[in-house]
Amino acid sequence: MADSAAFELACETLALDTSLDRLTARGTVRLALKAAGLEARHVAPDQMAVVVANLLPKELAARGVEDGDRVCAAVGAKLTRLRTDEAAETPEAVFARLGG
Amino acid sequence: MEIFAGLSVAFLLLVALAVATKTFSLWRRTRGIPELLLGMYLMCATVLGYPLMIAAARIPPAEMWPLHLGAQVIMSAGFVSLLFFTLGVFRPGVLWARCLVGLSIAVLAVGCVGVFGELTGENPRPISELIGLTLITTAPIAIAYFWTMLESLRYYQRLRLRLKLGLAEAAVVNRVLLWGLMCLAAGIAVVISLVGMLAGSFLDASTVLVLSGLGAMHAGCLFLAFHPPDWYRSWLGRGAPVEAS
Repeated sequence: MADSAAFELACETLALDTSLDRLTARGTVRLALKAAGLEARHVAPDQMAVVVANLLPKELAARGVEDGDRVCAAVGAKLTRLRTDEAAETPEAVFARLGG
Repeated sequence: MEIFAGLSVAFLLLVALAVATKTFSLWRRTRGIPELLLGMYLMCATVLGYPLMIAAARIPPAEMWPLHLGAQVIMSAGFVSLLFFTLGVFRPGVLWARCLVGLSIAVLAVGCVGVFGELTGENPRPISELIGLTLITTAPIAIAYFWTMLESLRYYQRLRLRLKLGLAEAAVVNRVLLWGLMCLAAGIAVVISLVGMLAGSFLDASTVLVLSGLGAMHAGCLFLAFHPPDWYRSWLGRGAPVEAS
């Protein structure tokens, strides 16, 4: 199953703006998502933005990336402009409906 | 002891009926498959199936074999719904999960056929006296409950992380936890019932006490998950810990 557009955008931007290669960039973002309890397949742009703002700087610093805050801000800005049609029926969405 | 057992059963049936009614009403609005499956599970396995099983335990099959068969078929339909719910919600499109569900349904079907064969025989015996059939009909139920429990609690762990970042609602996180705990209580009750039947101690006071307690926990978790009172919602909203401590 393909990863979400938000994940792909974040990884692509990281790979372009830092010294991280594509594989490392993807692994770094996956680790940040895992720490947030999210998956690359289903993460929405707004969720990705929160992870980028709160968890990704620490992951980048651990990998020796300089100016990680600027890079995360750049990723966040791109994510706010991202529009997707993905509407995954996640377990969270199902259980949210079941309470209503 | 019997009063506690009776109250526990009554509480569970009432809660299951209320939640099933609410869930079917929700399904009419949303047409969501999970809503339909949840409602089917609650109605068949608990609201209808449980009383039918209790009645079947008191009426010999020779006097009313359709009751015994009906109880078995309706209960099985309930657990097929639960299996499909867990597959669709937590593991859609995953091959091993589909195989697990397919195998469980096949075993349930074999169990129903076996029950039918026994009940329509010359001297039908209650299913509880047939160890092989009891194992066949119980195993998929245990699988349904424990698999659902594992998936729910695993997902709950991920939701807890999201909650810390403000990416999840406390009520939803709590609902997933309670669903997992409900399935844990129900699964343990199924295993204890099976062991009790095989050991001939199913009606012992201690077994009845434990099963009644698990039934009350089952009902309590179901109620708080899908029909929480205002004070519980407020408690969750105040940022109360959602851990099962």
